[in-house]
This record gives sequence, structure tokens and C-alpha cells, in this order.
Amino acid sequence: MTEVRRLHLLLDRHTALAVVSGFSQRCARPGTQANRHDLALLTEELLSNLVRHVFPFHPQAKARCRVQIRANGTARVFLRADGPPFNPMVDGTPGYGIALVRSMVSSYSWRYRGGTNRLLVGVQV
Amino acid sequence: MPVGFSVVPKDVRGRMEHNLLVDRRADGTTLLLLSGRLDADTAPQVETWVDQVLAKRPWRVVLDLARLDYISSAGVRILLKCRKQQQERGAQCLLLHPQPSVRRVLELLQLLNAEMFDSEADLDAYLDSVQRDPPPATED
Repeated sequence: MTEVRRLHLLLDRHTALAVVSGFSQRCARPGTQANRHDLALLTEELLSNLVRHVFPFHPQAKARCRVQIRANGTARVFLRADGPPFNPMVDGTPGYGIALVRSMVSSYSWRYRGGTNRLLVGVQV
Repeated sequence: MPVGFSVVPKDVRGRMEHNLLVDRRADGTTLLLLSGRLDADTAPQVETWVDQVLAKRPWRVVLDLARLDYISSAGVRILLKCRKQQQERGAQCLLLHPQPSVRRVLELLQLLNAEMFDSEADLDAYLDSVQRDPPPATED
């Protein structure tokens, strides 16, 4: 069975961070396995990175996040965000957040089309 | 007898599901008990509280993570900032009771180090091996 979590962001920065925090917590449920912790952490880092780098310049930008947890022990995080081209895996300021993402992600793809960034990352859970 | 007090206003405790208790002990140790989540949402406020504690120039800060359920990079930055500021003025910053989730994050960032202790007994043993008491005040 595939679990899906969805999030739509169109908020000011402070509220967005609170929503990201709540969404990240939901990704960790149910269960208390460490791998769910990693999924919550990965989601928070990707989304908070987006809030920091894109929303200040494009406060009306929309972002959507979808998390799929598969029965085969993998999960996929889809992130779509309006705004200028921004690949969180290579752009932005290097820091602990992106270092955590890189350490957890098993695969990723990014493309920019029609003014929208589309990021897909895979992770073992 | 240590005197404990909270620097977190009561009206935000429930909303943020986060708490920081400060306990100052007779041996000069300032114990900070972090609880809940230390993430991108809560980190700015917690950083303000930690800054208030560090402004008093404590000789030794122990960050007790026993009740810290979750930490992300935003929280890690606070821990490292605390350690850096303490080291720059010759003071100590030690981590106590890191939970598996916190240890996991520090491990991913390759930040596990010797100044992290699973129990108070381990911490005491370490302090016995180094300078336990603050250096005597020097006269100008």
C-alpha cells in the first residue's frame, strides 16, 4: 500500500515554516522507525530551504509537496515550486541542511519547465 | 540546591511544543534542558533564549538533550554556535543524553565528537579528567 502526504504552500515565510514543521511531523507517522525520522527530516530540509531561498523574492509563489511511501521500502518526495530556476541540490548556500539531504537521498532529478521547479528525490525508508 | 527557572514564556509553551529550562549549579555549570522539537520553526526563538544564557558568560554549558525528540539543521546550527562561542572564550559546551534521532542527525553530518555523553556518570568521569572548576578570577 502506498501512503501519500500532500502539502500546498502559499503563505508568508513565518507561517510557512510552521506548516512545514507540521507536515514534516505527519510524514513520520505512523510508527516510530528511524527511517520515518529520516523522511520527516528530508522533507523539512527541502521545504525550509525553499522557504528561505524562494519565498523572500517571490512571496506569492506556490509550492506543492507530495510524499509517497511504498511497500517496497522506498519513498519519493515530489516538490514543485514556482519562481526562478532553483535546484536545491546544487544552488543556494551550502550548509548543514543540504548536507543532510545529500546524505539521505538515494536518487534525485530536477527540471525547470514553464516557470516551475520540479524536484523528485528518492530515499530508502 | 540548584535553582531552576524557565526562560520560556508560559503563553508560547503549548503552542510551540517546545521548552527550554535553565538550571544554574553551584559548580558554575549552566544546564540547558531542551525539549520537544528543534526545527526551522522553533529554532529562531530557541536561539534567542540560548543567546540570553550565553550573554551571562557561563563557565560551562551543558545542553541536556534527554527530552529533545527531533532536531534538524536549524537546531544543529544552534548547538554548534553555542559550542563555538564557548570555545572562543575558553569556556566549555558539552552535550548530554543525545536521543537516537539527535545522534542520527549529528552522525549524518559527521559531527559526533568526544564532548557528548550518554549519562551523567560519563559526564562526571570526563569532568574529573579535565578541569572541573572554573579558573580563578584574575585581578587586573
